[in-house]
Amino acid sequence: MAQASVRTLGEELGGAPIAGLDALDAAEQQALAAAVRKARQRQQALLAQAFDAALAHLPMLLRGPVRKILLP
Amino acid sequence: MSGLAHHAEIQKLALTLGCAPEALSYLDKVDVPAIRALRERATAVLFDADAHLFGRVAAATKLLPTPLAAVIAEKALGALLCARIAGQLPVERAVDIAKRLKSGFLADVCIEIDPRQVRELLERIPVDRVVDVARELARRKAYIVMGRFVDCLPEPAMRAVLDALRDDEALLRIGLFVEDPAQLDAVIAMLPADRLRNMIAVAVHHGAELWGEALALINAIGPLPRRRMAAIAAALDDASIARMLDLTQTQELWPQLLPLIAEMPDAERVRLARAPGLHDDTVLAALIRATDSSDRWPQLLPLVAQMDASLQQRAAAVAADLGDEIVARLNDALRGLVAKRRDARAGANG
Repeated sequence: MAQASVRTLGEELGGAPIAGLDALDAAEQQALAAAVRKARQRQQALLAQAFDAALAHLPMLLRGPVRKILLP
Repeated sequence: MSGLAHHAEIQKLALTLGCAPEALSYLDKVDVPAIRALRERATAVLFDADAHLFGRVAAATKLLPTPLAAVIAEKALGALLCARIAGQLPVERAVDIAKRLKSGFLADVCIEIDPRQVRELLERIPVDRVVDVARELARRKAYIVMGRFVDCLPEPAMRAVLDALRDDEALLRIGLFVEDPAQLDAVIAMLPADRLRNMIAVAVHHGAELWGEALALINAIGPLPRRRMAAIAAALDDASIARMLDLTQTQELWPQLLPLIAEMPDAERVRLARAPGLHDDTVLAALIRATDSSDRWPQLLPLVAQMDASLQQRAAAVAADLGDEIVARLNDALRGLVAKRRDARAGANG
């Protein structure tokens, strides 16, 4: 169980395991992995919102092509 | 592990992850370097996750005239996206856009940005804009963010910000979050003695929590600024010294205060040695026990040497009550001090 949660945290963070985090039990490592995942999701949601808001400043006809260029 | 450094790291990680520090309470058992490594890895993950998008937006921004790019940045892109693309724009272009943004918005960007990635940009932002943004961040009590910028701000901007921020408690709280001790040393060197005195006085009179944090901060800086802070602390008024001793006793902070006492000039240390707060067996016992458990006898002895004879006798009696082992270690330290002084005299004569 501990190994599985280490991998989950490792997947979220990438790279080699961080020395010292093995002091956390499996549930705590999962909570930490979830916190990192949430931060990424929050960033992605904010970015999507920002792109939409930025595109809204362009003439309607240009929005589709610009979106395609920025978000292919 | 320093409680202050740990607390600061948890708060910085919480800011990076956009969660409450309390949600990370399980990290209490993880050491500071691991939490710092975790924050740096999480920061890299967040910056790298959509790096290709940031690059495209940065490239698209180059096609727009600067005034329009600034309007879009503030009205549409928002602080997070601007923070992510700032480091990908040519510095001159980023500075031109930043000059046109409102200070409040730049403060929002500062909260999201990793200042280490925009050092060159920070060097080119006009100092008066940096000061405006610093004022705004201080108004929001964004001390963690400001502490991270202290690590990266060029000296002229740093001096201007220190001059503009007159709230010495805020300065102290920002200092708690500075990561590079060399930068803290540099900032302390820029501050006049009266402001440093006020920072220590604020820490002493504000309450238990801030005094403990101030002591941890002073212990983290280099020997020269620490000696300067020690001299300033020792020269505080009698009421402040009494409060300092009282807080140190109630918060069990003797191991943190002893290095500071040892650095005080003899002429000022005597004021602590003669302070009424030490004339208490409970205080003396706590002081001696803390000295022994943290192996700080060489730092205590200069204080004992300046106590009057009756207090020295009282301290000796308290030490005797604490047990033979403590007395033996005290005697060892005394013999070591005598030998050191003898060697120093021999060196001076020979």
